[in-house]
Amino acid sequence: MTDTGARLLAAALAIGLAAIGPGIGVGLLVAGALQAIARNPETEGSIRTNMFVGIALTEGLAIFGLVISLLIGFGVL
Amino acid sequence: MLTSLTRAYASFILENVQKSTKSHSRLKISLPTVVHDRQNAAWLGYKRGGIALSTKRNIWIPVGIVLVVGILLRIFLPVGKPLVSVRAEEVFHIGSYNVTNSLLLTWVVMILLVVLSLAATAKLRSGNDEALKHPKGLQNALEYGVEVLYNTMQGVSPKYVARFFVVVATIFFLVLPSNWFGLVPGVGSLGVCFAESELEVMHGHTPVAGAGPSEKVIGAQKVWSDYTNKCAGTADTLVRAEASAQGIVLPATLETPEQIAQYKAVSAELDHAGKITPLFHPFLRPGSADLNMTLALALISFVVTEFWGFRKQGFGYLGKFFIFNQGPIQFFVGIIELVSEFARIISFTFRLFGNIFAGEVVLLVMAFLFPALLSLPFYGLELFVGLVQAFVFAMLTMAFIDMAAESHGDHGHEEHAH
Repeated sequence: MTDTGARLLAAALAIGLAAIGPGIGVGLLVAGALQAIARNPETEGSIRTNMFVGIALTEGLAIFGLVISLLIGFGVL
Repeated sequence: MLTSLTRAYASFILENVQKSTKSHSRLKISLPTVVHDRQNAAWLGYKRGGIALSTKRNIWIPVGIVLVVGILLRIFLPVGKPLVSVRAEEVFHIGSYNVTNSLLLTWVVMILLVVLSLAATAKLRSGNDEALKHPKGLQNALEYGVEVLYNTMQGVSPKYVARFFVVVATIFFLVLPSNWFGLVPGVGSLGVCFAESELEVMHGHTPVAGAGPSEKVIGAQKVWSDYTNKCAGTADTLVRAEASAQGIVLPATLETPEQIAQYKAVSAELDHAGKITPLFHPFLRPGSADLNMTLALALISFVVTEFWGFRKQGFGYLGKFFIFNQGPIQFFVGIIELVSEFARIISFTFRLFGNIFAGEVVLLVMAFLFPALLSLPFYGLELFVGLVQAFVFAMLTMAFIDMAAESHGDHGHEEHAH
């Protein structure tokens, strides 16, 4: 495998693997929030806020994967 | 507003799914049957004569047409290689200052926003009482937008929305058109083709020895260009110029298979040496597809948040991060809190950048896979993504401001506020 090939593979793996966990996490989060809203529609405002904050924190992990992937792809790392 | 839209949408889908399943089940029993329910029949595209045609055949006709048109376009339109650059490119200079294409489009967005808001508030500023009481037209539309955003933000932070709505709304109304401008045809697809060696001259590096003759030819080739066609022309010019600079004789025409094979071999060799990659600089690029802009917005959001934390709690704000009197676990929780506070800058930056830039690339790649048609559904998706990302950026800023203002102990009272 050439150096460039390994680099491309590493970049793809970095973001691909990093997206698995947050994907599951965001799914769980939204599912839970929707259930909560269905159960108790008056609290929708605060649930939605907390849901977005939670999504932002969870999604952050995938974004770190993206950053690492870009760093590898552009030869910084 | 969002929720009512979602509900309406969900009920629409449910209704239609029910409709279609009903009709399908009838179809399975006997294919050429008389349809009694004219409305459903019309919705599914049946003929109105009363004899039901196969739904499947009616769906396949437009699909077939689309496929044929796409394949014809693929054959007859010249298709090159998609050129993607993560960096925003310079378009022109003012003195030593590089004006990039993303900066240019951000200026366009700013002008648009200023003109729109001036036009919308013209009657208000002239002291017209009627405009204050019964807003009409543009003023009404913009007031509606601002009000929806204000009410949503009120749900996020009822206490501080009045104080920080200026910041949050500025972020939202700057990011939203920036995202959507990337979808305007021509943005990101009209530009100039450059050659690598010419760029070296532009940046003040010494050109590579032996690249001299090619530079002149390339300079002459600097044209207003659409995406692929002229860039392919530039590549051809580059191949010929490099080949002549290296003393390789290329066939003048490309008619026989041998000539084409020879040309391909030479160009592949030069391509491998990094000599003939044309670079494409679009004139416009959405601001949020440029890391500099998203980083700037993330820093603004971060600074406002921290400022408000210190303002509300003084140096007690640091007590959230440095917890010494509650055992080792709490101490490390505080450290993690500190790290995640700074990680927010990164995630803010790359969330917006990644979504918008990836959207651009998806549209581009789809256009290259299947000309003109495959990117259409993705335009709808990108419209939605642009709105959601602008909203998320604004909403998270508001939420983090709210969180920074609360001291560590009293998380509980957030629930009482609603």
